[in-house]
Amino acid sequence: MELKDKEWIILDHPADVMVEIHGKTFEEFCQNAIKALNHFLGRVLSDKKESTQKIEIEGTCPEELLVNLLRELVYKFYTSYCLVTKIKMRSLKNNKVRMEIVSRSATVGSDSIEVKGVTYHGLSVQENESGYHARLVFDV
Amino acid sequence: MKNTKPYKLKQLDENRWIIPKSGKMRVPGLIFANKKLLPDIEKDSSPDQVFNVAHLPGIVGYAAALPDMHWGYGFPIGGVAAFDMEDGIVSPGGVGYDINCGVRLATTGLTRDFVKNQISSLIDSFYASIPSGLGSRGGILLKKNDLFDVARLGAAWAIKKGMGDESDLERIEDHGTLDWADIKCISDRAYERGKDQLGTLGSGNHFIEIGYIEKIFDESVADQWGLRQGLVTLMIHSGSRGFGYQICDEFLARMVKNVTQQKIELLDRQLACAYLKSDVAREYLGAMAAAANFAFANRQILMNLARISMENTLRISPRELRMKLLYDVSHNIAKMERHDIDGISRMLCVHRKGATRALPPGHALLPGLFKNTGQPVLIPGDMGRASYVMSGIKRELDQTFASACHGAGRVLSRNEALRKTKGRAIERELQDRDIYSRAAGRKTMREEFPEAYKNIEEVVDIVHDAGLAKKVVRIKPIGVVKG
Repeated sequence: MELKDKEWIILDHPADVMVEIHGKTFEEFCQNAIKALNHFLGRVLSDKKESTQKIEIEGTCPEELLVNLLRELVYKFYTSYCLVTKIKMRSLKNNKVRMEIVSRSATVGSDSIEVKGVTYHGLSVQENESGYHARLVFDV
Repeated sequence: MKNTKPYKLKQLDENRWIIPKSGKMRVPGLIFANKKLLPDIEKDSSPDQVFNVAHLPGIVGYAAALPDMHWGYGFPIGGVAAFDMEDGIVSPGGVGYDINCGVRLATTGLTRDFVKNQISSLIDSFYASIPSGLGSRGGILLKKNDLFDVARLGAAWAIKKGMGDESDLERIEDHGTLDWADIKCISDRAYERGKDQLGTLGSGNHFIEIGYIEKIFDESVADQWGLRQGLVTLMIHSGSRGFGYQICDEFLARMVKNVTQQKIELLDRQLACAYLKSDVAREYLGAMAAAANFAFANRQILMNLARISMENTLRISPRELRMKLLYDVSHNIAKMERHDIDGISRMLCVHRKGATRALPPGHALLPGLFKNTGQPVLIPGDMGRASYVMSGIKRELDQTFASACHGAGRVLSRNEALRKTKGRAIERELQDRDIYSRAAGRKTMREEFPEAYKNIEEVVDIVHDAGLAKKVVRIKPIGVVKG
């Protein structure tokens, strides 16, 4: 499968999970990375209410911002059982992104995999005329 | 196809390949493999990862990889690297998220014939009584002080609570406690992620397996360890669960910042590290040891749950079951150990990521019962073929810092495994081989089907022939619970 026209795809990796992500803007790119992560973590309980929260993510480069955002969401899922469904980036100042995240209660699905961590392995966020791309490995 | 890699593998002998030192490599890379296994190894990026590790500050000897090696993140799985205490580093990526993921093997007084007709009830009973699967909870709910006690005491905590025997401790690597654990380095988040996970198996390749000793290779060592043909064994593979994952995650983030501040050049950011003399390194090692102790306690508790389950299901007394721990080893760990480098004994920080310590006979760290035999080296295979018990041996030339392989090593990705098993009922296929299986995850059996792994026979033969450890017995599985 190719990434063209897709938000994210799964690539082969012998031990862990590797995904390729695309987004026209950095916000969309992060949003799609969250969709990829959520696919492995669990599924939203659609009858539950949404909740909105303001968070701040730190990072000196797009790779750090992406990994730090996803690390936060992995922690949130395994301790509060909720998945983030939407993000809105508000500001970037002093290497910190302020954002609003919308989350819903969630549970593990029958296809879920335990995500131990979000790695930096081989991670390089590429920016070109079509937007942002990266390959990302989750330790599972 | 043109080779675009910045190195070329050169064959040293039948079982060893070297990545010669070049450019900014500080040591050569050394891969234990034969011509049959090498194509699978070259197919993924694991030799690149050996090359990357060979660039890290303070690395000594070789960046080594064992025959079960495969592509990980940062360090290869099946990798060993040691660093000088003065100018070397520690890297959370060289240990992994599942700190002290490891395996233990217990023997019983039961025979295969006694158990085989009851194996389905036994495995069903494990499945019902031992929390397993994705994010498995429902273990022992720990208050913060209790978790700190677990983090300080390791397996001894479980034994104090009546889950095992005092004599188990000398049969666990480091007696089941790393005494440099520092609870001040445990964050609230690590507590939150670990508080309900003690006594749970986890998911993926974690398992509890009933097997029997099918073949003996070394009568003398087997006899000293009480391993007799046909005897039933219990093998457990699990680690530090969410507690360890969170500790790795937090320190990795700190070390990513640290490498920028310290201007450490890395070929892969997942190799983020800190000089061993720095505060962040000391704090990581303190927290890592706490997670390692959690894992030792976890496997002790899981063995106790399995023991109770066996007694109840088989309606036998503890005296009839005669369960005895043979050994418990760490696969993912960083430890300070003394090794000879160019004839000089030096204290080093040895990283094993998917590798097993394999101490030779007479080693100072071995208890009396293993002094003559060397350390038991437990090598789980896949769930359909076999596992091995090997023993540490004296080496003329130690190029792996007293380490051997940790398993068979994956050869197929999870996706590829799912593609290859589409429409197949793996449980039924295993049953045809007289192996009864249960799994918590719907896809686990297919992702973990035997051929997703290298053939354990080939991996173990290389370890044996290369003089890293020697074969003692082969164990055949008859029942398994996968996470």
